[in-house]
Amino acid sequence: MSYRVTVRYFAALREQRGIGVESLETMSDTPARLFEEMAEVHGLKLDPSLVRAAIGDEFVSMDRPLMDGDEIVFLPPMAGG
Amino acid sequence: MFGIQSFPIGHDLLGSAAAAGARVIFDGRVRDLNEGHAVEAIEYEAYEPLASAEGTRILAEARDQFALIDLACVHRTGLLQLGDVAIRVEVLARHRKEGFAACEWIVDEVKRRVPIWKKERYSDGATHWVGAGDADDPSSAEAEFYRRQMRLPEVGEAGQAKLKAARVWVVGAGGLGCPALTYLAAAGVGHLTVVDSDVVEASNLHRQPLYAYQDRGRKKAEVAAEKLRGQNPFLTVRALTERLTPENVERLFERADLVIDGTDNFESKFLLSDAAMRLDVPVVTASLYQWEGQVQILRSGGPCLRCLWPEAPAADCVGSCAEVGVLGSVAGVIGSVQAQVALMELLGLPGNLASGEVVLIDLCSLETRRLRAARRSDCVACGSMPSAAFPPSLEVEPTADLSAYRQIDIRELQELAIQPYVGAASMPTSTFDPNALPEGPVLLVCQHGVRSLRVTKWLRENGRQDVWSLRGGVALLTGEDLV
Repeated sequence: MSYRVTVRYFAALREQRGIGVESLETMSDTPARLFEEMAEVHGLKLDPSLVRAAIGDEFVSMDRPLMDGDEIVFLPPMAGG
Repeated sequence: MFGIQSFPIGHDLLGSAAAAGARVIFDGRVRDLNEGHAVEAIEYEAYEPLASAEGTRILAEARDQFALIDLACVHRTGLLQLGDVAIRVEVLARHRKEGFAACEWIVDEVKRRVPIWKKERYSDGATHWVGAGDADDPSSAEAEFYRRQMRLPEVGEAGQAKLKAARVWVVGAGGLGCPALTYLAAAGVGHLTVVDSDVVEASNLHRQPLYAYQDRGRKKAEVAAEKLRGQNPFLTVRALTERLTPENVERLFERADLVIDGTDNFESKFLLSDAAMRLDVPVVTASLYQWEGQVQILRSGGPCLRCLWPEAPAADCVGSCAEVGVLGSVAGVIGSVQAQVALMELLGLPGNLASGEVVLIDLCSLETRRLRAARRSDCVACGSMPSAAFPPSLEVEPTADLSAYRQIDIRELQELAIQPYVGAASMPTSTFDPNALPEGPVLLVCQHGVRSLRVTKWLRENGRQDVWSLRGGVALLTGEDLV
């Protein structure tokens, strides 16, 4: 089955993706798989182990099942000052 | 060039120069009438180090903006009679226009900025303090400074007093630290410590407005402290040019009520996060990436940075400001948000950022977003392990809860006889066997904390991570060395 989701990218991920937000249809059923898919399609270079995901306003495990209509935020680490 | 003196001003300050077509001298003198009162004499008081620093800065600024050949200014302190010269400004310029303009500008700036107070003595016997900037007296000059924020019901006199008593450390005086420091100083945070080991470089200046072009090569902490003292003379500002390390972080935190993380690397950010959990001092942390920033407050009890990233990410996993670029105003906004969160925390205002909340601010779209992180029960920094027992610290403070550790006294038997320490098992260094150590967390104890620190380091390097050293040893614990 496929899910209709909104994906938001921040910081280094936004830079690598080239846009901050997109809506898409996906077969991936967890944030981890979705990130893997996006990394492959768009050539995201960040090590997946460093990516954190939030759904809505809560950080969630990368293995949480996705649901139709979810808004997924991908956040990389950042340290600039 | 700028002087404060307690004896009469009766001399020329500058020699002559052939190129100087204009020599402008201004004498500000004690006059007989001020706002309807007959004045008999005036007493001037200055806080000399601050006054000299500010005066010198004014002359440097004058030199930058007017075409001058030379300039000087002297201000009096002490008791002055009618007609005595209180301030003399001398300017040598090629043309009179520049000379007059510079002279007037300098007098205005000195009157406005240099912390010198005067007490007018009237012929009716009354006296009246007139502060720099013409406020009423030294203490109300200070109140005048904060009047607009004290008008806020949430601040008021009580809030202002809280800020004045507060001790805040700002680690990193760069893109985030500059705005944070500026607004904390402006708000009247009474004790500021600026920690930075770097020097000012030209490439810092677009986003670090505490520094001027001519400050290149100077220590940031020292320039920042100097600027802040000039900005608000009612504070104490200290500069620390040390680099943050696992060894000094605890001592740096010892007297802080709150720490601002203005650093630019994961190692320092995690060090500060760990210290916040261990030492119960809140840290307002933030980071930048190009057009975005994030802000978080780390309070003891968590969540902390390790709840999201258990291991500090590698230094080069994402680009730094130097590599990916950043706009100065982005740093300015995010650093100012840090100051705002810190002031809310110090004032104890409701509705401040909650623990675990990460605020993401995108300065392109002007969108903000709050994400909530939960504390991980297995977090090594703020989870169920004793909070004082987490690396990278090698030492445990004598004030910590020592019962969380198995204590091992590594002093020799004859030392134990002189000053016994109950509560620790004895394992003298001369017969020390690392394999005989019990399960951790283990706390090594010696007389002054020197040998135990050495042994702790050696054990850590050889694979034992759950070992600590008691800072100051038995001597500090029992008060013998208490300083």
